[in-house]
Amino acid sequence: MLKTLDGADFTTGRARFLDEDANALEGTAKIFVKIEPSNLGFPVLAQLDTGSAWSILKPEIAEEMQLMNEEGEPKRLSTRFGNIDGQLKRTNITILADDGDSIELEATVFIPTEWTGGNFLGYGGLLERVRFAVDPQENLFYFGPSA
Amino acid sequence: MTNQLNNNVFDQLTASSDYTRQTAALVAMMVHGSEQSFGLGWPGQRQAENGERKKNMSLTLASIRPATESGGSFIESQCKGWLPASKHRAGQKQILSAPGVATEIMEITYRVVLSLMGSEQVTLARKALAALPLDRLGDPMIVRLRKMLAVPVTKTSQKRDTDRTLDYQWIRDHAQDYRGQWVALDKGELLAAAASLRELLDHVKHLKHRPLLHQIS
Repeated sequence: MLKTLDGADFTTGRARFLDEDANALEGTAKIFVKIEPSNLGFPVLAQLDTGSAWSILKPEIAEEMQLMNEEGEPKRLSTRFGNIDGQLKRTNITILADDGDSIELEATVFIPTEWTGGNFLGYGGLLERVRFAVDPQENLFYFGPSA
Repeated sequence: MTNQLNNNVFDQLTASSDYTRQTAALVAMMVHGSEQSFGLGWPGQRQAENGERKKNMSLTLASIRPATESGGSFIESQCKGWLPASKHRAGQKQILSAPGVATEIMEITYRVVLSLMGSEQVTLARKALAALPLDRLGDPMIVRLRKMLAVPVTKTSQKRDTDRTLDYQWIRDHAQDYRGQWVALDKGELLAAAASLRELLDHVKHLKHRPLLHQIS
């Protein structure tokens, strides 16, 4: 795994990522990493988006996570699809590793009422406590918990 | 710890956040009382002489008054109620300790935090919450905001997935044929496709290994 200059662990796990989405509305390559939302039991893809204030989970996934009935904080989020209404909710998500350790996060995510886009890992409430690095040559995503 | 809504907080607000700046100033004033001239240094540090402190207070009040003009009726009513009294320290303390004021402080703080969250200023929203006195953190709406704005908690896990290179290749090659559908992939093969995630889960939940689930949008 990756080390800091003084030899300490910088990341604890790594996974191969999908670097393009054939169905994306734009033609630009993006990074999709594997996550496992709590209670879903299966891996799904989420786009890494450090420019996004919050992470977004598709409503169908949130339903399987039994998040829809939990109390959240109503919020309107500005996205490239326009303003989207939904709720912020606190939940658990695992970023899955192929090698090394995965990381489990208790994070805040935005659950849209309606959403045709995919899942996103945003900075606020999630990536802000994750160290990560990307090897674009090998399509490897290195990650670990931030101290 | 309760005095974190300090100069830095206001310095970080953008020019377009004047309303937020003024309202946040109002909250800080109400929370901390006249003992602290936030935005201009804390008098608790005893750096300013009395004259300087009065000047700071005047400047602070000047910054709050525009909030009464541009803010909602609730905040306006608050200001009308306490601004005149704030000219006299004893009068302000009397108002701050009056019944119902604590609830109003909570509501103003709640609105300020929501405003900051609306402009995605998460760090500032956290600081505004952290500025509340400890005995007011139990308020239900503040508890909910603190929960939502809490920094993520991370820990490592032994859980692992497998290399999905072949599944990614399947998505590249076949996505156009499955638009709108949920697909379950494993080792580069399509195990199931369905119109909804629920339907797809019904197909795959009995499998020994866990396929990658993805909706082709």
